[in-house]
Amino acid sequence: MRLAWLSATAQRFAPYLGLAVILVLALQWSTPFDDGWLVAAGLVATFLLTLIIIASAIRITDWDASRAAERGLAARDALTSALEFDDPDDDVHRLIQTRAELLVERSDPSRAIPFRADGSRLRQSGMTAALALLIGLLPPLGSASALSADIEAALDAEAAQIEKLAAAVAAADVETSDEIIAELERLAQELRDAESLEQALQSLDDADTRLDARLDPAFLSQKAAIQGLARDLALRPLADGAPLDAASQFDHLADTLSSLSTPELAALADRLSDLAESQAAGNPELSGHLADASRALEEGDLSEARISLEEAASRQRTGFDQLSGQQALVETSRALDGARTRLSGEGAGTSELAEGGQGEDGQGQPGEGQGQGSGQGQSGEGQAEGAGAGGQPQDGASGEITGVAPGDGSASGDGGQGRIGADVGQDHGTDVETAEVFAPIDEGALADLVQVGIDGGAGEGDIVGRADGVTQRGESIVPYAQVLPEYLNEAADALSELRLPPSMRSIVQAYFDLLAAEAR
Amino acid sequence: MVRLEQANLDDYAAVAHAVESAVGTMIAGQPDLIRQTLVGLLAEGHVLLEGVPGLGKTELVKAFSHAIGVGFSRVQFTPDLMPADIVGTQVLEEDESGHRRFQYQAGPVFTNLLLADEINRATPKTQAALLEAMQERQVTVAGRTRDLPRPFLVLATQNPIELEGTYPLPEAQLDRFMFKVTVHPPTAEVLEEILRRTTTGSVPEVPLAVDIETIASMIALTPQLPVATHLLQYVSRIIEATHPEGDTASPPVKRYVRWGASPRGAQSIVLAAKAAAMIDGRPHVTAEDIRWAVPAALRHRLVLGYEATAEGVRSDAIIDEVLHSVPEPRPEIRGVP
Repeated sequence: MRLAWLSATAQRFAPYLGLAVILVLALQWSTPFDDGWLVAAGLVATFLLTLIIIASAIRITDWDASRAAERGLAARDALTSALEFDDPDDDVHRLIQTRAELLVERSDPSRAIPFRADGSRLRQSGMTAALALLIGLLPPLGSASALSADIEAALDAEAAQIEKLAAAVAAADVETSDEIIAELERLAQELRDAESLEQALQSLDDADTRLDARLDPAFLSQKAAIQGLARDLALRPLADGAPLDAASQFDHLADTLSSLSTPELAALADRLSDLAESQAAGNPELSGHLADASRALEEGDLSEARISLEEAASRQRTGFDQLSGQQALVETSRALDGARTRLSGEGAGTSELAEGGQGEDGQGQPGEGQGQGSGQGQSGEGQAEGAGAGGQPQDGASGEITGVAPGDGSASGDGGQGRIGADVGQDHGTDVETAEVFAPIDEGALADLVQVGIDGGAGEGDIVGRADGVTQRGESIVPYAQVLPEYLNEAADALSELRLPPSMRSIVQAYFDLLAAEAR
Repeated sequence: MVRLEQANLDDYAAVAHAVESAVGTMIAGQPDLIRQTLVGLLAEGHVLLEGVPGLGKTELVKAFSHAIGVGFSRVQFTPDLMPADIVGTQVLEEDESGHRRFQYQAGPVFTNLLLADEINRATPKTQAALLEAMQERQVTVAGRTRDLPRPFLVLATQNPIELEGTYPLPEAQLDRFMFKVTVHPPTAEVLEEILRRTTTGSVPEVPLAVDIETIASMIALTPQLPVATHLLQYVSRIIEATHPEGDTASPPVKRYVRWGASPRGAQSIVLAAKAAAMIDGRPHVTAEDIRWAVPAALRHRLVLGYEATAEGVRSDAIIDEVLHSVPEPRPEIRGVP
């Protein structure tokens, strides 16, 4: 009877419980409240527990039991009458008792208290349960809708790309490999687990921020200094027959100092002093060692010079290692930027079909623009300018950096394809402040990126280089003395033809006068 | 006190069914009417039959008298019918010696089954005379009280469609009838059976189904059947629900009923239920017995108001509503069947 009561009462209140659960889950759906399922489960458990407690404590009289049983057995008041009229000395009572006993003997006790299903209540309960489940499974209100198949596939593809990148970093075995690999693996997992595009983009941003935090702020100047030194020494070795790389040259020089003549030592001291000066900004430690070596040579202290040269060699090697690690961070960060761009295009293409884009393929607008860089070689032997026009679409599928364009070795050179040239070209005169362009590359390798600033709002052409560029070995390395006359003529023409503002004429005139004096 | 045994109950149930079967040889297609009349007989409650002429009301009384072997009288009530025409009167007689004295001449009421045909056509005075006999089961003439024979059952008829020149029974007198039974016209199939039985020149003979002693025993035993408390409460709640001023009255009762059923109505229900249990061979009353008895016991006891008359609402509809609104006693634990 208690179970029958439990069943009937549960059926009776189940729809209300379902409504309560719906309210809780709706609260979870529409607000930041995250424990909806937990509270719903608590409600259900409390409901059942309360019913069980009440069912076990409920008072059931004999009459209640008799009445319920005779209704279940269709006994037509026989049991309650027998319960009431139980005088053994009364013939009528005895007759009623006998009839009740016979009836009970012939009945199936299991039918006495039947469990009854209230179809209406059960239907209501089922509907509320289904509705609660539906609301519970909905993504939170205000978040992105559930991932579409396209976005999910794009996230998986990016995660796979990132894992490939991690493998490549592992193969490179640079100084920062472990940190980068851990970061990339974590990011790949987060992309696969992302419940929305926004969440995936946020993961990318977070990973990029963490990688950027590991990047040495002086990375570019270090890179320019170290690579410039290496290139300079490769073109103009410190000694005849010396190896090509800078560190080996320092070691070689340290070993052969004693064999050099005094004029050679003096020339070497000057050369080392120049090199020290060139490294002062980007690699001060190496600069110090070179300056020490130069000073020791001037003072005739060969042993001290040898020690300084060996330290310089060591520092150059260390610098290369550090540079590789930092470069790996930069490349990784760049790859993440590419992934973010592709995913952003995926989202826009999928959800909004941005104007000019192809929504289905997630392609962005083809980039188009120009980049200019100016740089000065390590030893002042050459200058280079590069201009690049890029038409590479920011393809959601590949996103590879394909800008491969060696400088032409002259004072001006064609840059590679601008990876985000569209930004440069379109953002002239807008609020864009920086952009990445390709600088002339070293030994025909992939173009390196350098950061240049764009003075936004000033119109086209206001690009000011902020980092030293690198020149290419070969014809681009030209002593400025050879081109100075031509430059002087051009400057004179400019001054005479009033192509320069008056306020700038004196500066230009002073500059070329200084160069001419030094050339002499 | 008659000792009650299961064998008695079984025998009585068989007798009751035999009586119903015997009456049924004459009255075709009216099992409810026969059962209600038999219940009235066993519960010693009089029955008011309402129906248009020609439905076999007289034949019903005749059939019952033959089936149970008791006397039968029929009185056609008319406006000029006097009380003495029913209860009897003193007549002056002169014997052989020349002495004159009043001699009581018994009226038709001195019988077991009395058919008061078209009772509403007699004057209230005459109606009152009969109703007194019905209630007291005795008559007093010239200062002398005389008991009526037992069993004594009055079956009165009313024609519901011909009311001109009639004297409708007042509520207080209607209350003395245990049942008011509505006699419905026969269906086509029943009518066919009636034609087959009554148009061949021979009248079906109603067999004697029981002796008068057995009927008397059954009448005596009927009140002894016990009724459980919860069923008495059920009856009380039903009666209470017919009172428009009561808390448990349903909206239709409040709207259409002017006066609810009297305690005599409750008594009639319980007695009728006991008789029904007796006919069924049970030693106790059930809720079904009560629900079965309620319509016939209450339909003439509800005084309907003007709205009911205007809207054509009949007592039976109100009673159905009352039975629907008063639940059968069940365990106090909600959810348990």
